[in-house]
Amino acid sequence: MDDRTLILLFIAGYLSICLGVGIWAARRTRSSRDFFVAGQGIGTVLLGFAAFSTTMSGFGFIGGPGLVYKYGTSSFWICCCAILGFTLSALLIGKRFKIFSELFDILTLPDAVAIRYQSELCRFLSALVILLGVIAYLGTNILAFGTVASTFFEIDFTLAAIGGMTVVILYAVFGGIIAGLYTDVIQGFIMVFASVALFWIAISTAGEGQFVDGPANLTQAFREAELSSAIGPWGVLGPMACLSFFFLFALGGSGQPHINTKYFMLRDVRPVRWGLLLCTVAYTLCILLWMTVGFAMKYLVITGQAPALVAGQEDNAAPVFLLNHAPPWLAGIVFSGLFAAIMSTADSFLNIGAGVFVRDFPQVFLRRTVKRELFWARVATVLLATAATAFALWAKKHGDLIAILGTFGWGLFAAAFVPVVAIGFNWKRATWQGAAASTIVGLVTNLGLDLAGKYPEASPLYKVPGAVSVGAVALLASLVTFVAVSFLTRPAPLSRTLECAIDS
Amino acid sequence: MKPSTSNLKDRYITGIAVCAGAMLLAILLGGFIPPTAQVLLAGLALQGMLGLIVQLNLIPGRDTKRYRWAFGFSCLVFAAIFFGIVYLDHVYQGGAQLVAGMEPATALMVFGITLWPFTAVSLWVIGFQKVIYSTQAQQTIKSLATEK
Repeated sequence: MDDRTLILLFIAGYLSICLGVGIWAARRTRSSRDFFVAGQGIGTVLLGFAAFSTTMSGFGFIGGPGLVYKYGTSSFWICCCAILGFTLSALLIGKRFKIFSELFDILTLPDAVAIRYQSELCRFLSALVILLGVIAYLGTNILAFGTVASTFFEIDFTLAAIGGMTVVILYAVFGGIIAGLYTDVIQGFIMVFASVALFWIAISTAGEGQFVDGPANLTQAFREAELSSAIGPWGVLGPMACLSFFFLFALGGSGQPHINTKYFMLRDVRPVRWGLLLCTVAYTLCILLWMTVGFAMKYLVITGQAPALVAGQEDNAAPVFLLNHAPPWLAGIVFSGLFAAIMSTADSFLNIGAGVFVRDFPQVFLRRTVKRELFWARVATVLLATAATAFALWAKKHGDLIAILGTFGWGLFAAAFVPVVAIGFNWKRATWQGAAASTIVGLVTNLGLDLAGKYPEASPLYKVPGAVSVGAVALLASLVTFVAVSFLTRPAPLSRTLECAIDS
Repeated sequence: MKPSTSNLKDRYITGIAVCAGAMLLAILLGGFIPPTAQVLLAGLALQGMLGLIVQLNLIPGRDTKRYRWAFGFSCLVFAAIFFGIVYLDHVYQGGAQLVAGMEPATALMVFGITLWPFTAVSLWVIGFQKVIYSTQAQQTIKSLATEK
């Protein structure tokens, strides 16, 4: 049996397991409550794995090594702050969302926002942000899937992207979030194993064991190639860019709906306590891949042991390294892990996006919920997946790197939701006017700065100085706006239940 | 007279907003102020925000003082790690001793920024019922949920 066939068998086996879980979950999904919040019955293991699997998406597995290959240690400031990010998220939202879900009828994040601020305008704005962010983030994952699959299978990118999304749609449509959560556990184990294994291979085989130590180690090789900035603490992009990444990814995690909505699904409070530990340990093991594979690939290139990657295709760093330097059985598991990372995030986003169409927009425009919510949730899932795939193919034509698109999606959610949710749910003085203003400021700043930095292509309108992340600027602006407008407006009286929910 | 919980939270939130404004200023003034000053201003503002955010949801009171101090100490050490990175990078000479195959500042970034937050994770797990979500609060929420 040749190497490719063996790898294909592993991947086929993994995809079959996903479909099997989807079928099993479909039998347990009997209502929209099951579809969106897993019937509020999940425990520590599901919470821990779901939170980390959803975060460690194609962005982390493919985009991360790609960024390291291109910018050196600058991208470490994205993954290194993850433990801090999960901790802040737990501190700000963990118990708060659990309390809200016990006291109120909540299926979606905009539901929670509408209840907190007693405002359908805030619900609408939250839903709009989710829709835009979901399409961007799904696009990231589709690009990642297409990149890996087209590199490995040597097929057309479009075919690869569509094929991947088809599998995700099948188990997401029928199994809803229950399918997503249980596949997250399987995917989480695969990702951790794949990351540790590939980390070991990267440091053992790149440079024949001299990757870390020895006269021709990584640092020495980069110095001789006059790439010293890539291995310093700030990488190629410099300290202000790194600080902006650190800020955006540490605090921004609290605003990511695919992570924080997991807290609505808990059966009791114990998972809030232990889930953080599980999640952070698993994620730390996974970032070993992010940190080493990109550098290993670059090391091989600068020492003449591998051809350079084409400019604009640095996302191929991980797949190319895997195909050329890992034993086939491991490559099969790692590719399954890569697909696992991508699909676990994609199905979470599809579920969240479907909730916007089925629950939030009807509440805003029709002032009621739709009949046959579960049926329409499934239809919305298919339509959203189609729109996201089209967007991903368009983004590919315009040369957006996976991680750049992922940073945009992350930044959009961070700017819109960190003040409104992470701060506002813990602060009685927050007003609906502050929430609305900060969401608009976050959205406009993010989109505006992103477009101004790219167009017109010959001479962009405005670039944020120091390669600072646009998302970080948007988050800072929305934070200041939220607090300022809240202090300038009068808070609405809160019911005893709402006050208790915020104060506990 | 001790400030009420609401007043205390107002102060924390105001502090967070001031730090956010300072960091935004540091970013937008790039090119107008020396790079080192810019990095230090942004770094201070960032650490200030993180420290205040960590304190935001800890239960106040005499019984929880130790835990709150522990969380605060953890934040201080984290800030020291960050400024240690800035300092080590500033004084590093090419060819000097490496740490785990990396420049000292890079090693501090990789191990310090990634692993030190586990102290906060540990405090979260150990002190959960004391300083995060007390048994009394859980019972209050349960009774409200039953009334619903």
